[in-house]
Amino acid sequence: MNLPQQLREHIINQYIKAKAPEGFNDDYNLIDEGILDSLGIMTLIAWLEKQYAIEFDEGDIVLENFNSVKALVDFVQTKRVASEQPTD
Amino acid sequence: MTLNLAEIFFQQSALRPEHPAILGPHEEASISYGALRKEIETLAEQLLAAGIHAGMNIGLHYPGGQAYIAFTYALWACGAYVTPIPMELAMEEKQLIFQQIAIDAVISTTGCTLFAALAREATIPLTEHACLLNLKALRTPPAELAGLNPAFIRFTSGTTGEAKGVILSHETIFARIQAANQGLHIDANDRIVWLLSMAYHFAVSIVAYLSFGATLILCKNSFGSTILQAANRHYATLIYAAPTHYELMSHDRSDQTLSDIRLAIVTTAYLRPDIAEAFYRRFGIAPNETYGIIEVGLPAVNLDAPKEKRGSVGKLLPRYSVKLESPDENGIGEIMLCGPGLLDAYYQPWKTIDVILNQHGGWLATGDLGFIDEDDYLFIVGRSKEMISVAGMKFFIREVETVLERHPAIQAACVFAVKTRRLGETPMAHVVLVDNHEPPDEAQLKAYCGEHLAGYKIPDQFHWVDSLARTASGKLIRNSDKLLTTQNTKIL
Repeated sequence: MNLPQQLREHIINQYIKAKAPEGFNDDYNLIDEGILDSLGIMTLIAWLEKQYAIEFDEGDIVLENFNSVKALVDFVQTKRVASEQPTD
Repeated sequence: MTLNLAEIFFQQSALRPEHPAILGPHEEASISYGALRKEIETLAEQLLAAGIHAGMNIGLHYPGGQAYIAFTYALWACGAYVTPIPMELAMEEKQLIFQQIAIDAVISTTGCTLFAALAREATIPLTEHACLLNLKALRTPPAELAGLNPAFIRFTSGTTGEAKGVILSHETIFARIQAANQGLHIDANDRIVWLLSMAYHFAVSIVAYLSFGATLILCKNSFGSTILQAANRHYATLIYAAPTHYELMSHDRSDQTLSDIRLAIVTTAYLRPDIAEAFYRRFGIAPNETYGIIEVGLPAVNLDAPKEKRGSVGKLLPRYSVKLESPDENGIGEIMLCGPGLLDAYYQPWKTIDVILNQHGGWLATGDLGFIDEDDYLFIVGRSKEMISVAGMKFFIREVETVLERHPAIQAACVFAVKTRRLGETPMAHVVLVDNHEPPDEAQLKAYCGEHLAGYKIPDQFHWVDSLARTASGKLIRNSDKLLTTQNTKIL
């Protein structure tokens, strides 16, 4: 299962639970549509950090990184790339 | 004559009909005290016409917001009382509330079919988005309940898995908000950013704001930028939020400030020092930690030394007293409280406040562990009850174990808390397999738990063990440091 599929499945299983709403796709707004509340955001962060061995730094927990599956995928990919860069 | 909190609000609305009662969540959304009163009165007329009357208990299964507030006050105006049914609970958890507490009808979102099996007649539309469903009687309420003038019954699961609804009367809530306001000093000049679940927080917060003529600010979502925009747009003077919200505000990358805030109230859970520090660095405001419990209200707020005494919930507010029961060598003991506005009774099994207090010589045993420093500041350090708090959402361990032990592959279960940076605590489970049974995998166990429990109660990990670890006296060991070093475990 690739990253978008994993994230999509996790969001559906953990936060929607019932059948995915009509029009649910990778651009579906998870915040405006009430899928992720504050508890949901924090549990999702804990899961992402553990699942993908990334860390949310100060300034990372912002709306732009959470408002869709696509935004989450982009964020996780950016973090994974950054963690693979050699450091001085 | 009995007190009714709806009447207190109506008195405020008569005093200041044009004053804003609620602002947001959308930019231009605003309702005045006068308009909110009209909305409440219209709903109350509809409810009366639908058969709601004094002494009835109505379940409220609805998202937080202006409508939630209007329904609560409309039900009070009818003389009815309210049992919140949190929407995020699993169906089985909701059914438990209906089995344990006599509920005559439920207000829910239009199209919600969760309660159809309990209905005794067709749904009655109330608004575009809400309907009323009169329910079959599953049980009768305790005989003494009506005499208490109840406003809320807050369902909590008990330490041994059995239910314990907390009954709060109109008089009790009014006493609580008066006592809390000796420290908070909320008045009509205050505009309060609200970020919490109304199903769990209402009595010493929203009721207080609307009883003292303040304005409630609702936010579109919980992200820092959104909260700050709402606070600045509406000139907020006070924030009432959980540690999570302070963390989210600290992450904001904009140059927005919080120049008008006089109190940044933290509730629901312990505020991590790094979040307090990040918020202070970002905004120059030290959050005010509090001690709020459903049985008592808000007995302590760190009002005068939030930076110097970081980690403390402050001194007790003037009308409350505290003592520590059986303190250890470090001065840590169970926090015992007395003061105004203690709960009126537990619903199931029925236990009045007199009986509850008589068990401990006139004090309420909170189940929380703490110490008091040399300057009389109270610090909470843990719980004596077997509970877990996931980002401030608290639940009893036994609830989860009971669900796990009903799984056909599980002979016994022990659930315990593991400290985590993000969530404070997460649940983990040790499980013993039934002989000769094929062990389910983690995904299957989580899916099973998801059918019976709210998401935050589902163990993060399951370990198969040969037997549950116990003390010499046979008591289950729930210390994660000891359990996670046990050798005979297999992590799923």
